[in-house]
Amino acid sequence: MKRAGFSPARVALIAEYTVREAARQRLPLLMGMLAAVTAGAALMLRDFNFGATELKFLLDAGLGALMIFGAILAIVAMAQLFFSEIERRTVLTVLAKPVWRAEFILGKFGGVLLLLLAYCGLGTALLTGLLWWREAALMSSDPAVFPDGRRVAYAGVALCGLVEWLKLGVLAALTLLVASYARSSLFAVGVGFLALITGHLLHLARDIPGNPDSLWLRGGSRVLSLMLPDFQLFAVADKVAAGESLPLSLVGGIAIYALGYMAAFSGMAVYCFRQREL
Amino acid sequence: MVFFSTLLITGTALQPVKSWVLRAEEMPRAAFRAADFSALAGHGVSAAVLGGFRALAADLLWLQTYRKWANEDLSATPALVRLVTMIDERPLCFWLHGARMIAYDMAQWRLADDGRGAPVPPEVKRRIIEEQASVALQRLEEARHYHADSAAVCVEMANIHLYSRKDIVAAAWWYRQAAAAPDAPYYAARIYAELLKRQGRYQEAYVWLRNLHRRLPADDEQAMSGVVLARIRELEGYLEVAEKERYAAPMIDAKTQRP
Repeated sequence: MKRAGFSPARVALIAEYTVREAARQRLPLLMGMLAAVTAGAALMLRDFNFGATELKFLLDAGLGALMIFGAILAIVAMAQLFFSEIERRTVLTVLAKPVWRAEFILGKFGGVLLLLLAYCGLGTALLTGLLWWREAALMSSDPAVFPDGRRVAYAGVALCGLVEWLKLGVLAALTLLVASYARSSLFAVGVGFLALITGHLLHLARDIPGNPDSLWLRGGSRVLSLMLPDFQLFAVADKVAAGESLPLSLVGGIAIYALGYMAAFSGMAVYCFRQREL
Repeated sequence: MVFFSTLLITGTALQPVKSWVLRAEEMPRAAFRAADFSALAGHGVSAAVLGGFRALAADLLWLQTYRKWANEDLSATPALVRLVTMIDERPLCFWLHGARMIAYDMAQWRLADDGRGAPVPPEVKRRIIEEQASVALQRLEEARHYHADSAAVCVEMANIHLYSRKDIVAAAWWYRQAAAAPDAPYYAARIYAELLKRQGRYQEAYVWLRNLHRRLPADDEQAMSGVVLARIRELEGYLEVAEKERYAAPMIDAKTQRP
């Protein structure tokens, strides 16, 4: 029997099914609530603001909330949607048809990427709307502070949302890699969160090579910083909050970095899943 | 083995992109360094900071700082002041208020502790004030790394030199730096002239005030153009400047209210 070739159409179909499955699991509802919390939290927490101006604070808190809730969504959705197929044995039905395991994995990943895109889009739109409304209110109450019109770089805010999506995509790919060989979703979720923290602290490993006394520490930190994605690279919100523009070349560089890791993690996930006994 | 090799190859291949992005992103920020990170432990802010809630984490920690400050906690106050600016270096008020707490309030707490009701010997008093001022000035030097053009930081440094250390020369130097900053308040230049006078450098003060007055807008109350002119006249009297060499105040344009 002739073996069916790799089909992007089947990948798209599985991705679409993944999104529908997420809808059945009420993940979009959770996503909507998280996005609303993102915006609402930023608005409520401005009462705690002592240092920065209100708009900067809103931007900082809003993007922070988008990242935190997005990370939870990326890790939990990826693990949940992957393991639900295995636990309900539907994966056997799918793979009994002429579907590659690679197509299944990439389809699952594609579906979660679409979910995350919707989350980041919704969250960024809410945050942008909130900033626009507060800026308009501040402009009418104190026009002297805004002599040159609006101050918030809204294009920069939108690009921040895009960078956030890329980061969440890397995190989802990493969780998928763990899920592809793990036996429980809890393990995949745990490792996902651990990777999130490690990725954020990875820049500390860059500092360690400055210590000439410890060869092992230097070597180990160097290897670690090469193996894992550095999430500090995605921290562009400071630039936007400082009123600086976000060059497209910078976003392009971050996108190449993120896509490189997404490709590597999903490729390894395919490799693991092909070895896995279902 | 396949995992490690693939991850290493991916990391190595993406290293040039990573380095380029890091260079492009480079901006002065108090990102946590390995040596600093331990300072965060136990304050419950690590997760918030990692999540991107820098402003919120710093604000909440600032509340805690105020609580410690109100309780006159000598050890926790400076540690928290440093921690707040480490988490979020952007707001100037954290740097300025923190430096004031360290320079003025903490010096008084230490004096009260050392004296225990009895008068503190002048040399001990001098040493304590000097130590606290030195720590505060170090914090403000660090602030200049992130807020290089800020007049407020220079004014704060000048004030500590003037009121704590009683060092008029250093205070004058910092007021001059403040006067040269893009967001300089008008009073910085006036105080600089006053400090020159207190050092006996009347001629320099006179030249400085003459140059200053030419640039001052007549319609801005804060510029206190009239006060500056009065001080110029006072100095002319003191320096016995000849009538024809005296400063001729520029004519004010009725429309623009500028010289």
